[in-house]
Amino acid sequence: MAEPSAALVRRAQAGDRAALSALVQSQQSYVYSIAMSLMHNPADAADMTQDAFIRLMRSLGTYRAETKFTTWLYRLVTNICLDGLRRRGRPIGSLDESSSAQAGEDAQTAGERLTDTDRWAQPEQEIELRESASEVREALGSLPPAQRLALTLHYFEDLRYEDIAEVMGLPLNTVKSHIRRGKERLALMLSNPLEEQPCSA
Amino acid sequence: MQCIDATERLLVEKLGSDPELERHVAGCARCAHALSGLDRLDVVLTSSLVVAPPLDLQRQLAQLALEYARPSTEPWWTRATNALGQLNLASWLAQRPQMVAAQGLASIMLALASWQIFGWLTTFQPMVGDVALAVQLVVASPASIYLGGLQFDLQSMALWSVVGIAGWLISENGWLGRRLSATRLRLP
Repeated sequence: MAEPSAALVRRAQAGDRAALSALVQSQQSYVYSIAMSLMHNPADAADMTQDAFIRLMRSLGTYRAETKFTTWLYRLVTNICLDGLRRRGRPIGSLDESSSAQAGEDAQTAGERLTDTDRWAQPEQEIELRESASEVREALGSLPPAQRLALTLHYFEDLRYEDIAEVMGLPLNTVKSHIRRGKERLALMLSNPLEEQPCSA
Repeated sequence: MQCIDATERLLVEKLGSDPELERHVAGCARCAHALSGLDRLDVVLTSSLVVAPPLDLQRQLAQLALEYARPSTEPWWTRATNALGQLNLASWLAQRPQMVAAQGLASIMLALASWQIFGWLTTFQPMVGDVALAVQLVVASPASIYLGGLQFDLQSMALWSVVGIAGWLISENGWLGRRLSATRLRLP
């Protein structure tokens, strides 16, 4: 369960050692995953994760439970990573801009592309994905950061599209579009090339 | 619903969330095939995108949580009561019969030793409020007589104190012990 209980957050706000430890332990994977999706480099992601938790400890008292704790935390991490990228001379502007830049490139809709390639046209043939870590990493690296972040948040437990939109500060439809495009591109990149060849029979 | 719409919706929607989509996929081999491919993609991406931080970082974060923790404002007796309340002693002991046996044996030995030393108390009737008699009883007890007969040698006391202090210094929590355990010994 990604969302910590209200009681745990209250105890952490009061400085309870066990609650703070539990909070860090339950959120560290999610925070690190967000940092990895934006920084795309383990060392930078580790720096950002540490910064994020320091900021969390300092500003935990200001959290007012008006939004979900996880949404509040993930937004904090996202902003820290965007600042980090700017400081490192790799700014990505706003998460919205990267989607509009992609818009021209992705003229066709996701559904059109997937069906046009005839990838799914042979139900008797098992779908094979190239799943080695390096291939997946390479494919993920080729996605724009906004799509990568949207997909990462999409695979978190209990995070709805509305929550992802709040974390990324984007309209709901833009978030859905990021996820759709991201999945489509990854499906195309990771599917076995042999499948793309027309059946000789 | 056209296959193209169904595939597009499958990219962002769960199958159970839309009955129309569900009906279409149930009757369309092509879309069912696409769905199985997308399910496989979900599995691959979940394991690739949601990752645990490296152990070093996990350790640093745990340390960070401890640094920012504030000392508890609850008095020690409240914390002790809470801790005892959370402890289910009966089930804990039921899982450790050897511990129960050892504790029982220790209790019997203590009772025997107490009876040997203070067994004479049974010959007296306790007199409530008679402090002078109580002091007399304590002074006359075999334990007091034994302790009174001991020869206290300042030199040996000092020697054993030095041994004790040295032991503490090289122990795990001692000044020297902490430094020794931090030093990594390398074999030649």
